[in-house]
Amino acid sequence: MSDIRRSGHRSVARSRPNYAIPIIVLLLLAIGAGWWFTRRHAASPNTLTIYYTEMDGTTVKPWDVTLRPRPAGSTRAQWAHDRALYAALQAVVGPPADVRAVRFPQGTRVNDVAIHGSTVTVDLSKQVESQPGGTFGENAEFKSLVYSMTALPGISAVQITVDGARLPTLPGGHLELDEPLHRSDF
Amino acid sequence: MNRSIARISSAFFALCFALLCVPRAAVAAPLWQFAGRTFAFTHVERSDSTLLVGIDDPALHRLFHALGAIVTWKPGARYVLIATGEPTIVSFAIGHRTYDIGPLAVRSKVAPVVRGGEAYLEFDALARSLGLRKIADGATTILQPQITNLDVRDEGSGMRVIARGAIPLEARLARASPRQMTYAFAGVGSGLLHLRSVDAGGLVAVEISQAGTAANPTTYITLDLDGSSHVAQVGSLDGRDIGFVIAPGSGEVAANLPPTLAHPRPAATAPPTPTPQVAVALRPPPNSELPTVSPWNRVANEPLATSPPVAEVTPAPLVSLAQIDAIQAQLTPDGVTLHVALTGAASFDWHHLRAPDNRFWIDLHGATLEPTAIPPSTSAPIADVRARQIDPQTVRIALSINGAHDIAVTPAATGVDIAVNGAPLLADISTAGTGVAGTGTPSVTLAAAAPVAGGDPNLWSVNPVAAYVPTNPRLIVIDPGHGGSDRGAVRHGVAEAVLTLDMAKRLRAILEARGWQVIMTRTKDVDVYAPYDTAEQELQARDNIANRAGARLLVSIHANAYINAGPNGTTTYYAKPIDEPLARDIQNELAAQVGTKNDGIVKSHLYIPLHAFMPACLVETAFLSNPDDFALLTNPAWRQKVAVAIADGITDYAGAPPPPIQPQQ
Repeated sequence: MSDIRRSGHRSVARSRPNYAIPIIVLLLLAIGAGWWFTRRHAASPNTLTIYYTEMDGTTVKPWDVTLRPRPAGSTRAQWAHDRALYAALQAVVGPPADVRAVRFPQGTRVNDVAIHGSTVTVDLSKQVESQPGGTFGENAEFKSLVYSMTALPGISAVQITVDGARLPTLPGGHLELDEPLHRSDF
Repeated sequence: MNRSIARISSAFFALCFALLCVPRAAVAAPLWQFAGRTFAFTHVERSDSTLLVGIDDPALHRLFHALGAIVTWKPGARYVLIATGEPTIVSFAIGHRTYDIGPLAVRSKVAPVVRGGEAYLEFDALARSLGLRKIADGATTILQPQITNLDVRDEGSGMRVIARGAIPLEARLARASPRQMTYAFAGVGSGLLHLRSVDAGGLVAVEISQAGTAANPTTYITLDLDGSSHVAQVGSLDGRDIGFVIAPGSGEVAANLPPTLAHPRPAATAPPTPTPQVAVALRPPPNSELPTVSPWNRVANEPLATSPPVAEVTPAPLVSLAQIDAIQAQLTPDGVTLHVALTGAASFDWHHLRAPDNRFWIDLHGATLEPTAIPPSTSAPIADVRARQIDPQTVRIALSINGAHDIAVTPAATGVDIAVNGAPLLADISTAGTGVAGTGTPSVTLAAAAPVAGGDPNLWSVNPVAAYVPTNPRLIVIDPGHGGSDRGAVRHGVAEAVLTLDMAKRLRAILEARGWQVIMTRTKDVDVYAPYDTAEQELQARDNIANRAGARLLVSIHANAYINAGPNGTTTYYAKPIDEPLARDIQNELAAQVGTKNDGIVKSHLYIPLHAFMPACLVETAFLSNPDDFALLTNPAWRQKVAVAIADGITDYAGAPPPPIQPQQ
């Protein structure tokens, strides 16, 4: 009885094909593909979510914009800078013309952006000081900028400078700009 | 034979050498024409007969300026980003032929290149993205700005036709009849030439046609009406567009006409038919009860609310100011300690923001910064030490800290010690505190401030004072926004600074009649700090008045404004958590009493409430820029309503004023 069982076992063992190597190969391929796919997409997402403030002065709405794929040879820091610069410019320029939104004063340019940890510094040009005089515009403009910049991964605070200098508030203004702004400030 | 070969060879090499030596600008200097001006680009490259222009080219800069376009690029950057005046963002990636015009991906013949630190872009792609059409005219190429977009919308109440152009559009009424209105746009062409059938809202069709020359075009937009409607409104939202509103009924071309319609420019080309004389009815000026006043005049001839005259409460005069003689850094086993050496006594409040800011500052009140007090060189973990006199009686010492570190503030007889622990914290919270340092009695008494609790993201970036105990609970501070050299928003010669002062005086009278003590940060049309001071000096001076007086609450009164007449309504802004109940009560009363659109309460990072220790809010009463709101703002009876509503809101929030403290016998 035991002989028969033993021989039966031997017979089963002989007939089973060896799947181990193909399974390991397939597993490695799957892991490699997954790693490549996630790395590729994590390193070069080119869709950015930008926010604008509606004409009620407080409601922020998102819209997506696309930046060209990451240029070959640019480092991760350069790519993060490019994305932040593009996001800041989009936020300052605002949504397409047929969308009613509170917009920064005409001619306001984004001189540059710089990322330090989780804070991005957005350097605006002097034209941002040409505010019409109320809290409405200032609040809505900077709210959309802060929401747009903090939609970037790893960014939670936005320091505003004007032509390279920090300023406590805009001339004749209302908003405090000396400290970095956060979404929770609005 | 050999000699011939040698001659041919030398001639060939000489020709090559000569070609290499010819300046690039001289290779191609075609002439261009835009808005009647002829120019040539000087920063040019050619690639396979395609013209590339350097973005630093002076002529290109003038073209960008004329079109309201802004270029963002600097050497080393990988993208050239252009914000057109429309506005749309055009992005060119160096080395890539595909570029984006907003959401539209377009392919150029030649990829942008960098030569000598300057980015060169294909000019055809540039012209296209800027809304310019190239038209050859002999040796010159005309760059004709286009009407780039014509949008027809059914907005329920009527149809709206919106035209947008590569340049700001100016419309002139060229022909008018009950069934057809034709508007001329001089200086622009259009590739949108067609007849568009609509048949909705009284609008039958929209037709675009073009006349004139390539250099001097005129585009006509004709609105075909069904006879039961009329063009009720013509206006621009942002200067780049012209919108026509078609409404039911018959009527004249009315409100919000841009000046160019009221005073049309001479047509560059003859219109298709002689221009008839059309009655253009401009909206009459709002029914203002204000006399025409210069921005510097106060509102005259307006009765204030009757109340018994109450002597104005003024802050106690300062006795003497302490002196900050030195700021010294000392390494300790635990980290670094800054000693702020003080002669006299000063009260102080300090604030420490949590990561990622890690910033710390201490304000010493009733103190001056002596020239000897030079911030020391820094040692880790302190990255920077700054000291400045932020107003005549307050010195601020600010530290930038690398990473999150524990900071202890200890007052002493000789000054204040600020000990920064060198060991990094794994988690920190925003903290704050107050105290008195030095010897003697400080000239300024601060209310006690409790450190904030951690964890609430709403707390960490605002002036972190969660609990406030007023030293004078009967006192309310009213801040009339702007004043003096800062007029605030101005419309038709009426300045916000004048209106806010008037409403503040009315509010003061009501509050005093109800038993409150009131301080106004200004009682005249003056700057609170100094004429032509900075905004920070001005705003901080107003907060200082309330902070030093230990007031129960602070209300700042403003009038709102925007670049167009659209936004209207009343909003109460706040910043700190302790401001919100006050803002809500005031806004509720305003919404119930003053009849403007209720825009609710809005949290914002505003200087005045942020830097006030007490509950504070900023009331934007109405929009100077909106005609209906403007009519209210210039009506004394309405301003009185506002004052009553704010006073009622304060009563809702704070109840009745506490009884005055009886002087001891």
